[in-house]
Amino acid sequence: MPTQHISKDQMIELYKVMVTIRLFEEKIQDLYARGLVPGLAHLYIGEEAIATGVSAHLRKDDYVTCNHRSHGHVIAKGAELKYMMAELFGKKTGYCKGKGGSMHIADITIGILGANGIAGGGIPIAVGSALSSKMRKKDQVTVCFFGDGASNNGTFHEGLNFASVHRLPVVFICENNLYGISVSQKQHQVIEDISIRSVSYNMPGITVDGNDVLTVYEASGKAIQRARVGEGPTLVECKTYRWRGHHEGDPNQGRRYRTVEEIQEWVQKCPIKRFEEKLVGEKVLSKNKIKNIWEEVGKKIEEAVEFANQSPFPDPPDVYEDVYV
Amino acid sequence: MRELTYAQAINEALMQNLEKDERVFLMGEDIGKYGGIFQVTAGLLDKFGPERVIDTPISESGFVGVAIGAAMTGMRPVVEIMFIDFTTCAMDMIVNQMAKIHYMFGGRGKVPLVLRTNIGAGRGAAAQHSQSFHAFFVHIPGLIVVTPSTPYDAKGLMNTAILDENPVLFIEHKKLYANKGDVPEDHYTIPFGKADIKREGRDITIVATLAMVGRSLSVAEEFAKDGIEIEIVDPTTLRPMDKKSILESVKKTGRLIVADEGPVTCGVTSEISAMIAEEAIGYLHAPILRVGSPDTPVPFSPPLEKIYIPDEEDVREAVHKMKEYL
Amino acid sequence: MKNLEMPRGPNSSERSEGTKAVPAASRMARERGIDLSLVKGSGPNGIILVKDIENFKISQRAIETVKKKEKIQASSLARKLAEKKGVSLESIDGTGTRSRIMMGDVIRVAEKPAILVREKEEEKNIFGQTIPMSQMRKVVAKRMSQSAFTAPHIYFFTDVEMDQLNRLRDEMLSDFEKQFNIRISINDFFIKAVALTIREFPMLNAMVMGEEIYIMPEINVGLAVAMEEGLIVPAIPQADRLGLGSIAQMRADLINRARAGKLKLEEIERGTFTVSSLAQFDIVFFTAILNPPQSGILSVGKTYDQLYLKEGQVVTKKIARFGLSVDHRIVDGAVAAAFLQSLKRRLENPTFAFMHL
Repeated sequence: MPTQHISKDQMIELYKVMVTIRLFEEKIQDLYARGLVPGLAHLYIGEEAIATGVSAHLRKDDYVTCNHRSHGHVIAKGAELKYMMAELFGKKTGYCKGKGGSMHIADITIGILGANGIAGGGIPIAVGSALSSKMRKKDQVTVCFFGDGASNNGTFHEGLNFASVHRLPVVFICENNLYGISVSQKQHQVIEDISIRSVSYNMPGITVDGNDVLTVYEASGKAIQRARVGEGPTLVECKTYRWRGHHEGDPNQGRRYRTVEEIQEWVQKCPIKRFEEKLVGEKVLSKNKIKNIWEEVGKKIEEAVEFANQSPFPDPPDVYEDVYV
Repeated sequence: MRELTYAQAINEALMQNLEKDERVFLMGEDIGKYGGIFQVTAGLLDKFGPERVIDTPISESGFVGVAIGAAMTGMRPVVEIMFIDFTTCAMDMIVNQMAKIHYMFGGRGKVPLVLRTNIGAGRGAAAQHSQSFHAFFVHIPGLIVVTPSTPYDAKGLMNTAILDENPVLFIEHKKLYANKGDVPEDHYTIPFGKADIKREGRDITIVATLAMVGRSLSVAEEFAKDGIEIEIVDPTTLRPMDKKSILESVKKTGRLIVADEGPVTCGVTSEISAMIAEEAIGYLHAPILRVGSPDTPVPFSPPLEKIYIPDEEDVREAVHKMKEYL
Repeated sequence: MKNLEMPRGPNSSERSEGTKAVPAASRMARERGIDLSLVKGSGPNGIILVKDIENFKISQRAIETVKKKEKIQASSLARKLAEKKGVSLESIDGTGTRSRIMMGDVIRVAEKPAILVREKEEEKNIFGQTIPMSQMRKVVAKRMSQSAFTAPHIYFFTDVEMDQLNRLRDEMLSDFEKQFNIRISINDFFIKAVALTIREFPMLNAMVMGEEIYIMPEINVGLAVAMEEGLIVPAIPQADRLGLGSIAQMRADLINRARAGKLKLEEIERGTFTVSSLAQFDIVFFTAILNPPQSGILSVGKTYDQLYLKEGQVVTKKIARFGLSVDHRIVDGAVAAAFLQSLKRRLENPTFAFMHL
């Protein structure tokens, strides 16, 4: 695991982001179980390394599109927890004034072009923002997060094709967690490494261990740099696994279609635990400091929940607002 | 004033906007070298280059999505879908993405793009290239639907569409492209949601869209000889629709015929009929009559296609029926 | 027809209840208080248009007789000749275009004995024919059914001694005529007596309205007048308050105008109770159907002699059988019986009864 090009501070930052995502998702899990969060929740637990490793390279003015499982992407891009929490609660103070919910969180001021409830829906849009940056002659990069399921969708092919024809500054991050809801990758495609599809579009493709934040960091760093200097798109596949079901409410956390052994196997490969061990081993962080980090993050999350609880729901006339600009 | 064809009027609007606003660019299949299947974008590639006039691969969902992403991040794309029939390939992008983004994101995010396409049968293009289901889009909140019937309206409405901050579906008509009309040279806009009374009358109101406007006008001239004066109201935009003008006209004449080229069932004509029945029923001196296409796919064979298309014959028949209530 | 599946609106061939007027016409009719069932529609399939409401004249409504209002098509020569010969154009079959009556047709007919021809024509014309209902007949038929099927009728009969009343009438006859210019009719007494009796029994002046009973404010007694095309019932307003003189005059005027087809709708609609007499026919008694929305109707049979023994002698008295039909929803047997009894008492003691005014 190469660690050059990354400072200690940067590594600590990576760790903090992963912990934030983990604790946020666990909090949602808890609140959801107690019926305090309306709607749907698709949790990122177990996949934190990907959003974190990729987004570490992104500037505020870079763009991100993501999918329905995007709390992690949005947090990693710099969204504020309290506005996220308020949005999930359906409150007026949320990022989308309560009108979007978990699957549609967006903040264009920090480049988040929206989580998307349609599998693969964000791919062409990401290509569009990349086209836009190129047209405006800016070196903004777009990162597009999607899953193995979306890699079969027409939009994947149309998007990658267009991006390659026009050599656009977009990085396609495929988070292969081996399942599209309940259908395993083995059932929904004949290839094992999705990155080989990049060949069809004459762009570089690479497969990495999605649970190793530093590997993700390095691979995505290269891809983002390529895009930034105008060398075109890249497809980066990150192998990972979600610990919980497709959505909160998926019976037995996805054990209708996954075995307990398989889940356990991947839990052992927890990205946070692995990185933690490395950090402690290389004396980047002490166990104490780690404890502090967890506590501090925990506090921030409680504050966010508090903020969300105190916030009002939207008023009934708000139903009719913002249909048009 | 000089005359332009409907296609030329749109071409001029696009050209003038490409000239003065560098955020504007065009995308679509065969719009560049070929100049567009109906020559609406002829000459624009030469003038503005391939960066601003992009010939896309055949991937409606993909390139409409690209337009959305570009519009969200500061550009003003005008994307063409060759026939309205192909919008089905991009339905997710149109219905679930562009129409929803502003609302879903609580007003923080907008998609100022124009999606141009065309409807209408009559060129023997058969079932998959001749439909007129623009009613689908009127049904989706968040979209603006524009239906110009003359070259003058086309240029003015296109200018408004490009300036608008919302996603606009600009519905053209295959059989109108060659029609000529007066078009001012300079930039002008026509506001959305303002119907145009194309002909005044006191006996019968015909609310007509696109090609039905011209067909209704010629039928109106025939009946004028018998002393029956038909008023023709062209909504120009179906969403937002100028309900007020339609209501005023119906209150004046008491008799309404609605003419739109889409199939009658659940079409634009149904919406207008329901609206009048809801808000002006006491003013009706006669039942509301709808003129549109029959509930069948578009047939290929020319004599069958002729029967399919709602033309002067059908408008005339409706007026005859309406005469019994005069 | 191109638009094969064009939806069928109210102009389609099936005319269902409630769609016989265009919306603007319904609204106008409502505003003007016009009963749509009396308006003839000129739109497709007889739908009522706004102009039908605008042109609707109350005096011309359904009471029109079957007398052909359409102008008979005849050449002017034919007309002149027919007038000269005293031949009615209606009895002539025209042989010109569209059955126009030409001079030759008049000559042909004029050579036959006119009356015979007419009778034969009429005879020939009635049997085996299907005659459309006149507007009035339609209305009568509709209301009769409505009444019969809505109000549960119950009937009561009583025999009234008419001797006293007849004697009173005979005594008054010439003076009455001198003063009021009209021959007093026995019906006038009936009308007055009924009106006075209703005062005691308000339920006989009521109508059912949903789950409520509306007792009408005035007692307007109608007298049924038989006409060729149906029964008409003009009503004497506030009959309880009018003197016999006024009643007689109004009665005469109403009946004349009824027969001439010149009654106003209001004069019929104001009725709250009906008196129907078949006394001039050999009808002993009959069960009348209520005139909706009224809740009572009095039927009068023929007066005939009845024998009885008085102190060993055979004497006759004049008896007429009166029938009372009531709406059993709001008039019970006891009430109806009491009403009839009270009425009988009045008619049998006319001097006392009619002294009250």
